[in-house]
Amino acid sequence: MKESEFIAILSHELGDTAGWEDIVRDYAAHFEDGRAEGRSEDEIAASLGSPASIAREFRASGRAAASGAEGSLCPDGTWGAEDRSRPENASSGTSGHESQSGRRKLAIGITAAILVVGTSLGIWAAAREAAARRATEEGIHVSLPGMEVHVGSEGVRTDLPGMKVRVGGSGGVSVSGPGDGYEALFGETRPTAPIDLEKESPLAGVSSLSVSAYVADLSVKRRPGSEKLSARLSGRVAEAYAKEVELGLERKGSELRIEMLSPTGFDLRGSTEKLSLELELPESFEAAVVLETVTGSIAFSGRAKAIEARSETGEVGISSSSAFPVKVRTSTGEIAVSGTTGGAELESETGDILFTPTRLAETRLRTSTGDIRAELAQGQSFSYRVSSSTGELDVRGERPKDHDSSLSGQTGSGGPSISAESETGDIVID
Amino acid sequence: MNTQFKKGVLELCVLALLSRRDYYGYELVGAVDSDLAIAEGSVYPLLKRLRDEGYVETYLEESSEGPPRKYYRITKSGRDWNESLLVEWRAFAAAVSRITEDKK
Repeated sequence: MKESEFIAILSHELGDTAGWEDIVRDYAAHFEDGRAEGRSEDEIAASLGSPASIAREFRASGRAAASGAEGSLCPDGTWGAEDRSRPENASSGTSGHESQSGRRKLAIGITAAILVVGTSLGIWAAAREAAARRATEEGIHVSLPGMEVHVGSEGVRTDLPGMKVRVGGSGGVSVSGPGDGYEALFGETRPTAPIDLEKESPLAGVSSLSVSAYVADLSVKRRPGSEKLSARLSGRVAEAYAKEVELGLERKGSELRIEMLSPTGFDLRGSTEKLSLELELPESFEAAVVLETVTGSIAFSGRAKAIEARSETGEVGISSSSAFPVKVRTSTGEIAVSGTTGGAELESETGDILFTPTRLAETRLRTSTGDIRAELAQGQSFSYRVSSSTGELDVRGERPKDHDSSLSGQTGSGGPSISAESETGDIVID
Repeated sequence: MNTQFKKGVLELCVLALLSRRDYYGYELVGAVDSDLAIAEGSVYPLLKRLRDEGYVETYLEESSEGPPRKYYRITKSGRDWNESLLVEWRAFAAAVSRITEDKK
C-alpha cells in the first residue's frame, strides 16, 4: 500500500475523531522519516499495519477519554496555543454526514516542489482548524512545519515566499503556491462541478473484464437488447478537479479494463461528492470479472464466469444466479452475496457477511469482528465447520456444548462444505 | 507472543524509553519494535492516549533535514505512572517466573 492510500483510508476511517488532523500528520511524518531511511512506502505501510484497525484504536481510546477531554488541540502549541477549547463552529452547522464528506475535502496537487505530502497535509489540517476558529477569535496564529500562518482582522499572512492563503466568505481557506501546480482548499464549503462521462465498447473477444472505480460507487447490471458495454461515470467533484477526472477504457488482448482516473493522483478521493460508475453489460456477455474500489461500494447483478470483488471501506453486494465462483474481500465494508450456485470465498476484517445462495457449493466465510449469517435453501444438506472465539454459534438450531468455540458436522446426508470463522462475531447458519 | 499481552507491555516500554530521553515518533516506534515486534501503527494511538492523560507532552524541534519534528517528553506524572507500572510489572514477572520455572 502506498502512503496516499494509507493516509486516505486512515483519514476516512477516523471520521470526526477528536484530533484527527494531528493523527494524520503523525503518520505522514512517519512515512517521511521512513522514506528518509530508504524504506519503501509499501514496506512502511506494511509494518504500520492496517490503517482501518489503527483508526479503530484511536476511536476506541477517543471514546474512553471523551468525557474529560479538553480537546486535542496541542499542549505543544502547534496551533498557537492561546485557546485550547474546540473551535466553536467546528461541528456546528453541518450534520454528521456532511462534515464527514465536507471536512475530508482534501484536494492537493502534488507538483509543487516546495512541499512534501506530510507538510501539505499539515497545512490542510491546520488551515481548516484556523478557518473554523476564525469566527470566535480576534486572530489566530498557526505554526506549521515549513510555514507560519496568521489569520487576523487584517487578513491572512504567511511567511513562506510565494504561498498565498485566502479565507473565503464561507470560512473556507485556500492555500495556493507558486505556479499553478499547487493548490489546497480547506473549509466547510466549496464549489463542486458535475461529472458526466460516458463510453461504450464492443465486447467481441473479451473474456475478462476488470473495473477499478477508486472512490466511486460501482454498479454492474445487465441491459437486455444491447450488444455493447456501456460505462457511465457521474457525480460531483471539487471544481478544480472536474476537468481532470477521466473514464478510462483500455483493451489489451482479451482483457477489457475500465478505470476511473485522476491524473494528479493525490488526492481525488478526498475531494469528491458522491460519484458513481455504472456499467451495463449485454445479456449474453459472460467473462471473468474483477471489481475494485477503495471507498466506493460495489453492486453486481447478472452473470459472469468468475467474479472477484475487493473494497477497503465500501460495501459489496453480489446477486447472481449462475454457477460461478465468487470471491469477495473488504476491510471494513459489509458483504452480501445472494442467489449464487457456485463456490464462494467471502472475507472481511470488520464487516458483517450475509450469504444466501440458491444452491450451496464449497464455501468459506471469514471475518475478524463481524457477524456471519448464511441462509441456505431448506432442503439443502451440507457439512459444516464453524468457529468463533467469543461469538455465539448456531447451525440450524444446533449450538456448541460446553462453551466450545467451534462446531462441525453434517446435516442430513451431508453435501457441499461450508466453513465460517469469526474471532468475536456471531455465526448463524440456517 | 500474544498480541493483547504485547499491547499491555507496550505502554510500559514506551514510558520506560521516554524516561531516559525524548524521542520523535518514528524513532520511538523503531526503538520499541526492534525488541517487541509489534504492529508499529499502534504506538501512535498509545502516545495520543498518554498525552490525553497528561503522562507525556510534545514539542516541535528543528531537524537537520526536512520540517521540524514532533518530540515526545515524559511529564512528572508520567514518571510517577511509569514507576507504579514498573512495580506492578516486576511483581507480575516475578510471580510468572516462580510458576514457570517451578522454583519454590
